[in-house]
Amino acid sequence: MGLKDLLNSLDNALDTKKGRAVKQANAIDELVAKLVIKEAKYEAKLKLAKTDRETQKLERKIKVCQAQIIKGRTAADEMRLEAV
Amino acid sequence: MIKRIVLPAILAVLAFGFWISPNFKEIAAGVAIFLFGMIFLEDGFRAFTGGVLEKLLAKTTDKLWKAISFGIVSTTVMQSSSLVSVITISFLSSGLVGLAAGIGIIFGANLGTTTGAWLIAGFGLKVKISAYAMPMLVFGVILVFQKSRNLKGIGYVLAGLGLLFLGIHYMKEGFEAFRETIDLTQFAVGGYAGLFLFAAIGIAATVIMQSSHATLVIIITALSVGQITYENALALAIGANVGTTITAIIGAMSANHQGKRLAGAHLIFNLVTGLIAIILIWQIIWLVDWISASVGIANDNYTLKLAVFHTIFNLIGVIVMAPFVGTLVTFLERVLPAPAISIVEPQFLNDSVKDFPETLLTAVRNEIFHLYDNAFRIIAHGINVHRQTIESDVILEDVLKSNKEIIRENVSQEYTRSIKSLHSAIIDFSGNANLKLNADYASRLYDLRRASQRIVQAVKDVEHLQKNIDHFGTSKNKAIRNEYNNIRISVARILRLIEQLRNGDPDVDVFDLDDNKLSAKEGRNATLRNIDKMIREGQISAKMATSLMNDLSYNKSIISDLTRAAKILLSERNADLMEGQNIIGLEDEDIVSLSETDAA
Repeated sequence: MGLKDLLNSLDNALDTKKGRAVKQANAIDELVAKLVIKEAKYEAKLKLAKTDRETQKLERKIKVCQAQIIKGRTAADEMRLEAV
Repeated sequence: MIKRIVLPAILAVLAFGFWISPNFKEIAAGVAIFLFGMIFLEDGFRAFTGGVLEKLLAKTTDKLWKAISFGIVSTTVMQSSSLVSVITISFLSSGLVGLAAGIGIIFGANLGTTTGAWLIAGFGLKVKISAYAMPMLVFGVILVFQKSRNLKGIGYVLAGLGLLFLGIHYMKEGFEAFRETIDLTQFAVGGYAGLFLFAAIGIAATVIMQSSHATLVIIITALSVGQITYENALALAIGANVGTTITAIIGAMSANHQGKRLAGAHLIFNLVTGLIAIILIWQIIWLVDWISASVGIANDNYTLKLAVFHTIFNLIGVIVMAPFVGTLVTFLERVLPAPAISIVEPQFLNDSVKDFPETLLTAVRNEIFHLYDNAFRIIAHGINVHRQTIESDVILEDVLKSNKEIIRENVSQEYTRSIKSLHSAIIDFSGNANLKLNADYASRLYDLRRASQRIVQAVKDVEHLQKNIDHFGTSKNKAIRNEYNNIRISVARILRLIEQLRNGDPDVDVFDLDDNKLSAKEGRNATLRNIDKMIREGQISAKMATSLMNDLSYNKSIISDLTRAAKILLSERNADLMEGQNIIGLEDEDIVSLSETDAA
């Protein structure tokens, strides 16, 4: 393990401010990854939608997913910038 | 009355002892320092109990051998079976672990505590222990003053260990000096009489000091300087084992029925183990001698042989009792039955859950779910929908639009009976517990209280809605009936989504609450856009329109309150993921913005 990795691990273990920010950003990335998969599922279902109601419902869900993903990515990037 | 006498009596006896013997003073000071070290050690490990311990406990609930292993390892690391007992009772009371798993942990803890004897006999008495104690104390105290929770915890553990070692050092010095003035072996009693007498002394000593570890340290140090005979030391060790159950029983006094059951299991296990040890003492002594010879322990190394004895009789206890855990659970459930579940009384709030932040938060969360169960029934009936309809897979639009049944639920009365009192209990309990929590946990507790408040508010809003839902929901006017059915459907949807989340439905997650909120918002927007048209075309009257607009506002509040409460109660338990969900989740302005995008 390089010195940088060692220092990062120590930051995490000793619960420093920088360590907490990076941990939080990683947690957000984990959640965003699940949302990306969810969005892809809705897109696939949208292609097979038969009624207007179903189409509207899926479009709304995709819109919400995209908004959540953007929010998550923005927050994670800001946290990583602060940690540097 | 007795309580008021005991403490002054103990202080008087000690003062007399100090006056007549400076050596006794040194031994007693050693015990006091040792006990203080155990308090520091416990505080240190409590700092680490958030999150990690809970996850470990969750993984040990499915198999008995895992629960026993957890008990062994945790007690060995923390060197305190009392702390493990208190943790287990706390987690049991809050509903985090089941009784069988809790019993397994207690069995393991009894075995794990025997490592203390090994540490003291194998290490504590053989080296100049005070040389290690001083630096540990210094470093420990420095770390205690740090801001980081982990560093503080390490500091408490280090200082605790230092005090433990210092206590052993003073006890050893005290007994060595004591030997020159008085030889306690002249009071040795042989045979079964000595066995029972010294076992009783061991029980009494452990009950007074509230620590079997402290009793064992005294036994081992006294034995190492020849102040007590080997046979009497074994009897004292058996007594210490039984006496330690008193701590668990005292801890269980403030626990719920589950905690009391666990304390009962602890008592039964230690009594059975003690009885086996007394009945088979000579056979066990033979076994100890055989094992000691096999592993190279000298025949006259009585302190290590005592450690072997302590481990063996506890191991025999675990082997004998493990197959009967199921029977023990059945017996305890019969002897200590669960109180009848009351919808108006708190089920999870009791003093034993206040010991650890995680159990406190879990207990409060479970109690709020209890409150929500009452609220769910009242809200569902308030909008004239049966709970089974919401919990099923039926298409809500189809069922609600065709159903004109009015469920005669007195929302106001039910609010007073099953919501207000429970909510007050939650606020009172959490308000008192808040004083002991650090900033992170206090913040999470505050969020839970807000969740409780939002559920209460949602019920109050349904109280406002109910009259018009009953009136317009069954109206001959199709247009107004349709609008109020839409209100009912939107409330039923959020209730259904919360049930799906609670049941762990894999097709939904907490983020779907935002989608539901947007859907409800779009529905309300569509209605508001159409209201003028409906009035112009004579579909609804102006009075109906004002009622509808007012009730749409209550509808918005109900959905908002239930959504926010659900986000708090059903978010990830991991602190970072929970915070992540809060950050990613859409706020009201985001929802408004998304709804306007469509409209545009």
